[in-house]
Amino acid sequence: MTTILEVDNLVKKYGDHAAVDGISFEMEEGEVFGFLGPNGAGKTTTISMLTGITKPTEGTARIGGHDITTELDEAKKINGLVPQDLALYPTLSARANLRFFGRIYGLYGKDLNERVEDVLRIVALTERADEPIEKYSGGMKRRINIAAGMVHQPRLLFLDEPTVGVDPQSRNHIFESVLRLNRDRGMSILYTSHYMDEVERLCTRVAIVDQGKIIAMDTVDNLVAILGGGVVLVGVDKVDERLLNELTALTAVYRATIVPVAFAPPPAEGEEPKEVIDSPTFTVIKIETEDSRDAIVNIFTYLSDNDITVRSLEILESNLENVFLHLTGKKLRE
Amino acid sequence: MDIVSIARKDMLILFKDRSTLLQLFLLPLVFIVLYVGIGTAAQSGEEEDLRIPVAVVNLDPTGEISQSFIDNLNGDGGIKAEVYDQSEAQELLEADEISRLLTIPTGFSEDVLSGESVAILFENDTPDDQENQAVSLAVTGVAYDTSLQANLLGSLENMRQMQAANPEATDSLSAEKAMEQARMQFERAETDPLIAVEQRNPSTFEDEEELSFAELAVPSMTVLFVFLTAQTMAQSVYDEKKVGSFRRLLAAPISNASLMSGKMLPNFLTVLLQVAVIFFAAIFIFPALGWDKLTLGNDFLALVLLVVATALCSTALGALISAIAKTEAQIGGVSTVILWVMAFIGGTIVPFFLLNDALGSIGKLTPQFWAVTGFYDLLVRGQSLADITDSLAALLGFGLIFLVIAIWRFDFE
Repeated sequence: MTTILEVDNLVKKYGDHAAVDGISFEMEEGEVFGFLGPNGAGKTTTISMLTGITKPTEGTARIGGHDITTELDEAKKINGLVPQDLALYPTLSARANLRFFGRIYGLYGKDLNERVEDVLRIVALTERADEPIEKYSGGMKRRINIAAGMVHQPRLLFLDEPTVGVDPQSRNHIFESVLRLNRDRGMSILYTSHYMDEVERLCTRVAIVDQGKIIAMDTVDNLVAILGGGVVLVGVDKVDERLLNELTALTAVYRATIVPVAFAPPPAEGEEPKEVIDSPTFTVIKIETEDSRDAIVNIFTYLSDNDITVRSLEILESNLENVFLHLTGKKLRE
Repeated sequence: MDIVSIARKDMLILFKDRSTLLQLFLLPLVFIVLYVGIGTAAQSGEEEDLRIPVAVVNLDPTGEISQSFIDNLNGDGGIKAEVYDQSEAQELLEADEISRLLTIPTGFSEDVLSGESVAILFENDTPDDQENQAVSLAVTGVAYDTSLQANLLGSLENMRQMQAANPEATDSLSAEKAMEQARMQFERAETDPLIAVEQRNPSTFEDEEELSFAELAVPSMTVLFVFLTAQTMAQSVYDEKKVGSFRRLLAAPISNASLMSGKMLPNFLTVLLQVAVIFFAAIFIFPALGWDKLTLGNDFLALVLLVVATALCSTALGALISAIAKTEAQIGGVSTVILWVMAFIGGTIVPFFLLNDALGSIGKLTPQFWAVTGFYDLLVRGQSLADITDSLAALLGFGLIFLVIAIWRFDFE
């Protein structure tokens, strides 16, 4: 397996604020790699650096062996970008848009015609290809947006939140297109999203990103396994060391710790996270289990036997969203 | 080829945008029609004295012949002779408030009566050849008549004096003698007139007030709208960034120079097309409204070079606005300040020679001034390439400055 993308300590600073703070990872050719994180985590900024839209403050990357700081044009020729915004010309038809973007990547004549018709077939918009984009639905625009990013047959395609604001039917169509591109054409895809279900469905490996850093990176199964059998959050009036030890000793419980602050929503892009959170009148204990169903029975039996009142209860299923919550104390989407 | 692809795409988008097309191509023609219509109406609203004004300085104020000359001028019907003091007349001539000045020399009447040849100085400071010819003929004609009148009267007076001195010579004042004298004086008036008119015409054109509004409107409105096109380019760049396609272009394997050139080329081509449309209308359509047909001057190569230099300057200005204006509101604001204020002081809305001296000098700091001056020189004054080198140099110089600032300030991220 060849490495299509090597990222080495990429940093992007705007003044004192580090939007990307030392990201490193590798991607194999033919892989669908996920970048999962909330808004403002640094996903789009990372892609902007990799595609040459913005220069890194530090670090570098190699795409197909071409260094983005010294051989940027060569790197650009083999990658494609599907940006988060609908980067199309609304008064031109889909076909005119695709022909323009094909020409920009050096396609002409018969090659260009064939490529344009091919991508129109992939996104299933051949019949309406001569209508102006402004007359399309949101989902159709998203599909042409994807088509424009791959008209030149890139080896590596960057898809930046491609399903934002899209209806479910179009969303499914986009998923099918992504899987087909990877499976049938061997296209490597770096897929960013803040939707856990997309990443779980499409990606072989996932990097969880927060505040400009990768906080975890592995296959979906391995990441989910961080949660073990699940996490139970129990709110009680008073917590001491003895209580934590006794809870940890219960069957099917892995560990019990105090949650230091209340869960805060992730900050908006460019804002600092809140430091002071209104604290509840009870303390929340995070109980990591080996099997959440067995553990809950044991936990509640213990609490009841010891006359400990339960103020709140939340069970975190084993999924990426809860992995993020577990790792950062924040929700993936607010 | 990237530049051509980007330019082609922008031209396709432009030609689908009806409101912008109207603004670029129809609005200039509307403005020209309004400009000429209002200007012509203002002129015709005044009580019209169709006589051509000629200022007269009479350095022989007590002389009978000089007064007779002035009366004959006024009696011609086509000329309105107004007498001025010499110093006042010179001031008015220098200030372009009068354009024709006749100076009757000292001792005029005495010289004429004594049969001595005398010359009247006629200074003609206007380029209107037809009118000049008419006035010249009139003045020469009045000089001839006055000369003949003086000669005849003089000779008859001589004959009378001879008769008085020698009463016995009965044939001194006979009808035949008188007729013979008259014939001689007619011949003399034609071959050796007593009163000659010495004409002095300017080598350069000074008095723009003689231009018709049609001659004023086409060059100035052309320049106004050519430079307003710069705002269209800035809007195109802004729209591309707002839509997000600019990011896609930045991610593509094309250089920043190609990207910028591709955005500038449509503006350049649009300006050339604008000029072609306006000139076509001025040559073939506006004459149907009774206006003078625009001629393309005597040096077509110079005209082409001037149009190209103006287009390049306007394009560079568009790049500058797109570099410094970050929002749509800023584009509008910067365009208002840069384009409309410069247009005003550059003489495209009000002719610069109608602005006062201070404002007129400031106009030279604008590219519009040099463009309008160049077009006037070629289209109205019939000058050639050598006469517009300063306009060409100024336009290219401004263009270079705008482009350098644009490249320095343009945000490619």
